[in-house]
Amino acid sequence: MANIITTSGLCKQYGAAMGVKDLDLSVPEGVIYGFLGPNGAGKSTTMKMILGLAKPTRGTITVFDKQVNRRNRLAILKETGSLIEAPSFYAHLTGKENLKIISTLKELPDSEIDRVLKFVRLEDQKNKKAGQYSLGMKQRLGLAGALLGNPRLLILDEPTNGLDPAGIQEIRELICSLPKSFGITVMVSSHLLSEIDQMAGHIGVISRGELVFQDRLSVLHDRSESRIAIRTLDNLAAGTVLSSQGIAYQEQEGYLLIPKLNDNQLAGYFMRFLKEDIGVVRIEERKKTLEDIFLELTGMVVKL
Amino acid sequence: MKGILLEFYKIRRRKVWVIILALLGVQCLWGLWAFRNMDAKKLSQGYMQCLYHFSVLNTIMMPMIAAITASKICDLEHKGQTFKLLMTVMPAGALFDAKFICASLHMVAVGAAQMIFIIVLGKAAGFTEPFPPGFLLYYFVITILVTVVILAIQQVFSLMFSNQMIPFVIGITGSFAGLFSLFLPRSMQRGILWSYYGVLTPVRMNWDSQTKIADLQYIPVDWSSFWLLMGLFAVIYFTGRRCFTRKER
Repeated sequence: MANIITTSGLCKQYGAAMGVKDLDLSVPEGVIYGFLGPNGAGKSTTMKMILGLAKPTRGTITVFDKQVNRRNRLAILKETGSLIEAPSFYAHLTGKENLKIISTLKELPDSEIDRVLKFVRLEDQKNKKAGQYSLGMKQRLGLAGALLGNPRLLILDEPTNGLDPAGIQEIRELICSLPKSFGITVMVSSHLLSEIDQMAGHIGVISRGELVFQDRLSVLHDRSESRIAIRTLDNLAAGTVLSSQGIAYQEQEGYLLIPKLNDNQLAGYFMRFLKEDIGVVRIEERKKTLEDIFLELTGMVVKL
Repeated sequence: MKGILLEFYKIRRRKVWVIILALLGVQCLWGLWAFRNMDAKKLSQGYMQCLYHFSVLNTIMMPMIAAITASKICDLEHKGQTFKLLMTVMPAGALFDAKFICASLHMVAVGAAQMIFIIVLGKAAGFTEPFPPGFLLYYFVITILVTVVILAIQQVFSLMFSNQMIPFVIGITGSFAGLFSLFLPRSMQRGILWSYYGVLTPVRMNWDSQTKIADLQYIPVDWSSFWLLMGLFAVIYFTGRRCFTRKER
């Protein structure tokens, strides 16, 4: 699958601090790419650099197989829609008038405004001033503006931020339908793994400006397989028993962690423990949630 | 052209004209107050009186009009957080130019309104001085040019700061600096941008301390001050434009 966005060694320095460090992103074409990271990790800065709103300190950005520079930036962005941080709009103008400004700059016919208004379900509110819209409607108006001209690539920075659950679901549904309906590649950022989990097929996880994971979401799911945690009165002896049976184990906080086994196998090991006079006091099935993996990846695990 | 038309489109319902007309109205009433008692001598120098008084009034009022217009035209982008959207569909420099031309056209209209007011006042009050089209045109051009240079500096600050109090305070301070500079030697006046309404005025007052008689007279164009103003404009406009285009969003 060809990449629609590629960054190589992308860096952004603010004073002495590195906001983004050696970022090598690969966003495949035709997918929803979730760009995940805690607040302040460098997601918005990266997206701004891709859109030319911030200048990289080092590194290169390639969009549609063309390396972005000051001269070709706007030509490349003609096929790109974006929604960065809060939605941009003129509060004293109506929704339709707001879209008219973007469509005029993009040299698009007025029919395009009606098309995107219908898609984001704002056609009945188009003559209302944007300042009177709810936050969800403003976000949909921002999305409509980004969709004007049917771009090949959509860059959305935390599009559900501040929305109520109904608004979040609405925006999520709209985003999910884009690749299938219009063949648009979507790069969407969030600090919420659950949100990305429901939208994206590919993800990149950024922490403290560095990319700590990038692959299909299914690869991250694979990491969340179950393990069995056993606590005995003599973990050393229990470990020897497991090793003698060729079972790899890991000791962690007084527990022996072994791969998930079927019930018969597990019962057999307990019988061996009993024969060796090793008292078993706890048996737990542990499954790492995506949230745990995300926290591990981003180094934000909090231990109480 | 597309960008300029869009600037006018953006400011619809913003009522930019209301505040401009209000300030222009204050200036005209202030001007009328100066002409409440016109004797034969004053009527014989009617247009000179008008151009002289309006040059002084412009020093106070026009920087405020420029500051408010620039602020109204730029503030809507800060409020709507639209820079990060616009910068992906148009060059930052084109946006800067479009805003400047849109605001400048407002200033041209204000200058034209002043001219019309002076002409109407001349007819209504019965000025006996022969109608001086050349000096009126010169006054019109100078008023527009000085205001447009002030507008450039106001626009730069209005675009660079989201808090519009900063450019507004600069505008008010400049206005007063320009007014007080009228009492300073000419060489010092030339160092203050806001004093150029007085520096380039087509009329000068001669004060004879012995006879204690003030007399007005037309003066030729001060080309060196004119070119200095144009130089200042180039520096302000292109430095401000560069700062704006290089600013990260």
